[in-house]
Amino acid sequence: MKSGGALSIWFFIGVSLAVNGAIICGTGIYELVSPPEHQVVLYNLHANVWWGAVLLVLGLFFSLRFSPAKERARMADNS
Amino acid sequence: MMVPFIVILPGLLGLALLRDPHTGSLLRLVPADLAWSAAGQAQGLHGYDEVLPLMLARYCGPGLLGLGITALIAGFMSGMAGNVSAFTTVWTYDIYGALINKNASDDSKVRMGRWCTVIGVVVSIGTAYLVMNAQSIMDYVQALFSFFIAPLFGTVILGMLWKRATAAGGFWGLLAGTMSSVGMYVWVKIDPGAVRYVALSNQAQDQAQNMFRALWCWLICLVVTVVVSLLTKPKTDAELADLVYGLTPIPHEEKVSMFHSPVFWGTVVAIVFVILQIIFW
Repeated sequence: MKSGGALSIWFFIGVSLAVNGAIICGTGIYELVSPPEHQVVLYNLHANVWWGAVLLVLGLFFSLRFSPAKERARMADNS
Repeated sequence: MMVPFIVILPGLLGLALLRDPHTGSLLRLVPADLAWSAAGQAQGLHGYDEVLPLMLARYCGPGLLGLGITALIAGFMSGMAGNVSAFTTVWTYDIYGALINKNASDDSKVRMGRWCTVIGVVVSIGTAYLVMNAQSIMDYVQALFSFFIAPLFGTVILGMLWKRATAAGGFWGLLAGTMSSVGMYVWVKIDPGAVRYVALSNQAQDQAQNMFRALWCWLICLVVTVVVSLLTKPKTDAELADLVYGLTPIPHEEKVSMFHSPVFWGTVVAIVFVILQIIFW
């Protein structure tokens, strides 16, 4: 799915996932180092860390796979 | 099949898992009017609609909580955007362009579409105030379903399967079904004792009333559609070709493996449906 030009919409989705993942994972790591006073239920699972990491990895994959440079190269190959 | 799991399962989980952080006892969720009353607020009561935010607050710390709330808001926004867009398209193309101004230019249709979008958003905001009168969002949605979806189901099913159904039959059947459903709703609002006629019990709660109302208006829609259709001139078979079951060639089904067979999955759904009915009767 594209909205004109060489930029794929998946690139923006990747960037969004990566930024969200970095923030959530970062928050989780900060909470590991300095545990909050009021902890959520099942805090011991550290969902922020692994869920943020999953988002970050997925976001980086999409960002790189559909990066503008790669898209331009792919279009040049096809033309 | 998946919708109840997505819509109802979080509520059931909340019922079993949500606990008062001070006393440790299970939270008792109550209707919205009680939860938001002064007495309810003083006791810290929560309404049915608060299950998802309460679950998010219970399990998601800073970071994930933001993502969860963003996902909720994104879901609301996309749902509203889709509905406003459908409203605009139906009004502009199917009513304005087809009936009111048949020679409308593209510019005029675009202008009409833009105004419809603005009006649709304002109406959407207005409906939020209607929800405040319902015990929960689920009750409100089911009431709307009983007004519009249940009679529409009757019209669609007859139109698809019965070649004798006519346009007039469909129109009057749908109108009678919708009006009767709204009428029953208003009747019970004006005279709460009428619930024993609509839902066959004095004790029927909103959801039971919604289900019975849907059943009655579906039946009314079917009866009116059949009667009016039999009294009006039917379309010829040639006009209905490829539109009605019986006048449409059914594609031949190739032999496929069991897991690709619609009959197999239909049977699985039917068996699960019966089992769930027996368990939760």
